[in-house]
Parts: sequence; C-alpha cells; structure tokens
Amino acid sequence: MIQASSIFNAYININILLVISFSLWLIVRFILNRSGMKYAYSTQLRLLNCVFLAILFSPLFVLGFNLAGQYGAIPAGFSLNLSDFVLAQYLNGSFEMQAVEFEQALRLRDTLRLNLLQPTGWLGFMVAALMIAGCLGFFLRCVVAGFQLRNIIGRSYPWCRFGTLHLRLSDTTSVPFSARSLRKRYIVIPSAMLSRSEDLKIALAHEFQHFRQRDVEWEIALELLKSVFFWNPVIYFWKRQIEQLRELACDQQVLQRNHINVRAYCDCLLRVCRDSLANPPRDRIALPSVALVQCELKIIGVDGVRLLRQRIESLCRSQGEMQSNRPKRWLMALLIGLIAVSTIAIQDQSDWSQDRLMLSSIANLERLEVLNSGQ
Amino acid sequence: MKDKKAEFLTEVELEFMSLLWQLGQGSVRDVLAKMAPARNLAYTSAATILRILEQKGFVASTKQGKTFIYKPLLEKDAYQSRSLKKLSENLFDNTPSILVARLVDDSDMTEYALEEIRALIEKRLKNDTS
Repeated sequence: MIQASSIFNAYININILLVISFSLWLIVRFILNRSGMKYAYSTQLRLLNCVFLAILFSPLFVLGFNLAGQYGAIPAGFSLNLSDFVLAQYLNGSFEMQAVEFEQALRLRDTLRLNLLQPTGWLGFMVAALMIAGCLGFFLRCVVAGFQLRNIIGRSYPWCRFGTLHLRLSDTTSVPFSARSLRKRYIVIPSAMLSRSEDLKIALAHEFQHFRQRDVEWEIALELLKSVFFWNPVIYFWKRQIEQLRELACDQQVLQRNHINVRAYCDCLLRVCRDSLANPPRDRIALPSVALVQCELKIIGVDGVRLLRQRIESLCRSQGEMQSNRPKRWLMALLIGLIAVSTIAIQDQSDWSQDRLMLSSIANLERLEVLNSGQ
Repeated sequence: MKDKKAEFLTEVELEFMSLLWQLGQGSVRDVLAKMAPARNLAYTSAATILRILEQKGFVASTKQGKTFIYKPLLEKDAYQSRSLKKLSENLFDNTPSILVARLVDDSDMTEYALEEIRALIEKRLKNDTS
C-alpha cells in the first residue's frame, strides 16, 4: 500500500503542477504577445514543450532538493513547502479560521488518498471505479486509433523512402498526414495530389517540418497522457494550445525555408480542406497523427475550421513580420525554475513539525470545547 | 512487391487508364505525350501513378531496354460495366430501369441517341428470345 500511496501522491502532484504550469504559461504568452513576440510561434512551441517536459521530470526536482538537504547544501529548517508556509501564517494570525476546519483543509490530500485507495463508502467505490474505467477507456481509444492508423498506412502504396522515412500514397485519405511507429516514420499523401505538383511540394514541405519539430512524437505522447489525466481539463487546453502552435509554427517555418508564395500556400490549405469535406473520412476517431489541415468541428479540442481561419489570417498578417525564433534560454530557465519551486512547494508534508503539533493541539482543544458545551 | 487489388480507379488513375486504352500500350513518356500540355505533370508523378495501377492489377508492365511498357489488363468495356453496376447499386437502389429512365429523361439527349438506345434494347430482346 506504501507504493500505491506514493504513486497516488505523485499523480496528484502532477495534476496540481499541470494547473500551475498552464497558468504560468498563459502569463508568459500574454507577456510575449505584448512584447512584440506574438508571431514567434516556434519559440512559443518550444517553451510550451519545455514546460511539459519539466512537469514530467518534476520528481527529479524533489529528489535533488531532498539530496541537497541531506548533504547540507540547504540550511536546516529551510522549507519551501506551501502547507508549512500557510500553517505558519495561520499560527501567526494572518488569517482567521476554525482550527478543525483548517486541519481538514490541510489533510484534504490524505482524505482523498484514503477514500480512493481504500474506499469504504459507495461514493468512494464509485469514484475509484470511474477513475479506473476512464483511464482504461481512454487508453483503449488510443489503441483502437493506433490500429486504425496502421490499417490506413497498410492500405496505402509505397512511393519512396529516405532512410526510416517512408512516403506513401493513399486513395482513402484526402488530407496528407505524418505518423510513426517505433522504427519507421511515415508521410501519407492522397494519391490525387500527385497530379497537383505545387500542392504536393507544399504538403511534403509541411509534413517534413512536422518531423523536424518532433510534432508526431509529441502528439503520441499527449494522446497517451490524455488517457491518464483524462479528468483534468487542463490537459485538453494544453493539447489545444500545442495543436494550434505547432500548425502556426510549421506554416511559418515552411514559408521561411522553402520560399513558397503565401497565396499558393493558403490556396493549398483551402483545397485540401475542401477535398476533405467533399470526401469525409469514414473513421471519425482522432488518429495519433499530424495532418496538413484539420477540417472537422470538435467540441473538445481544436475546432478545425477556426484553426484554419486563424492559420490563414496569421500567414497573411505575419508576412513581413517574421520574428526571431531563437529559443529564449533565460525564459526557459525561469519557467523551469518556477516549476521546480512549485513542485517542491506542493509536496505532501508527512513530518510532525512544531507548527503541526500546535495546530493539532488547538484543533483537539476546539473539539473538547464543543463536547463540553454540548454537555 | 505486394499487390493490393482494387476494384475502382481514382480520378487521376482513370485519366491514365483512358490514355492507355487509347494507346493500347505505352511507356510513361508516351502517356505524358498524350496529355494536354497544360497538365504539366512531372515524369516521376506519372511513373508513380502507373506503378500504383500495376499494384492494383489494372495494368501489367514489361521491360524493354531501360523503359517500362505498360499495358491495360482490363478492357474499357469491362470497367464501364463495373462502374455502372456500382452506380446502379449505390444511387439507383439496384434497379437499372431507374438508371435508364433518368438517362432517357435527360433533356440533352438527342433524338438520334434515343433511337440508338431503342435499337440496342430491341437487339438485346431479340437475342434473348431466340
């Protein structure tokens, strides 16, 4: 049970971190937009991906902090723990609250852990069952989508090959897309596109850029993580941000690298979207792949039509305003630092410090007073 | 190369097959030469389309020197019948008479064309009774 408890703790921490990090990201994006970096999409995408990696590796920050404490690199009694800080403020009288209620609020995570890992009432059982069913359901959806993608690629025709990158032609898809397996990377192009050489050039340049940005790998990772954090709305907002930024960054890079005319590029996007609407795919399930355009309307996630409009507007507006897309290392370091501090601050504090003992005594006294007044 | 048999052609493939039916057989360059100059199709794209047609089993290729010569394996009439059958199944509730009725109702149909259809039907009925 100790192991399950530790895993659950890490799970809760990552969920909290997702919320904190996404809020931080929104602030950073607001600042970037106001500081003349509105169209630096590649920088924004790299920053967002970097924040996500920092969350995944957050247990290492805690490990490092604990090791630093053990080897005396951090002064004794120094704490970054948020609950310790709030408790100290409470005992100093910075805010007023019933001690019993405050103690319950501090133990909320313990209560949640007990109710979900050792459910006794029907509600606990139901929540635990829903969590497991949700995870399994979303994971199964990922597996089915993976098989569907494999079928689509399997039904396509080999065109040419560069190392591990396979270019294939398909009669069943009307939108070019990139995907990958463990060893092979695929770009699938609608066979009808062979007769439109300008569109073919644009589609290939776009999909190559997706591979350069490692968008396919991110898409697969996010789809898998979605099945674990399915109940956390932040994961959907996060994915939406990444989907928007990767397309905007990709369009911008393709135009910069390949000297393609903006009008021809926009025309190509519109043509592919029109073809897709004229021949809608039979499988409506979201495939773990990265397409040239998304034309479907989604309730959750990126609305394809709105994103297409945003892409075309952005291409027209940002033309001549291409900004430096060099990674802003100081901004990256700042974000990682803030996430590291947040990770350490939200750790569950299981030690009985002086302050915690005092709070427990006050809460017990309050309970006794209630009992006495009742008699 | 693993063959993937398909029953129907895509728009571009149909364009290529029509040219091959006209030519009887031909290389990639022959097919490209038959196309309208405004089509501006790359040699590699044309070669890829013919290769896919071969994988689908619509054409067969033989090597003559360094050039591949493609020959249709399916007659135009056979593909027309196949396409009409599918059209009849999908759009005309598998009732060919509705298909013919729609065709005859077409105001663009000339008297001569209608006469031709009548002659074809009469010929077929005569053959069936004899």
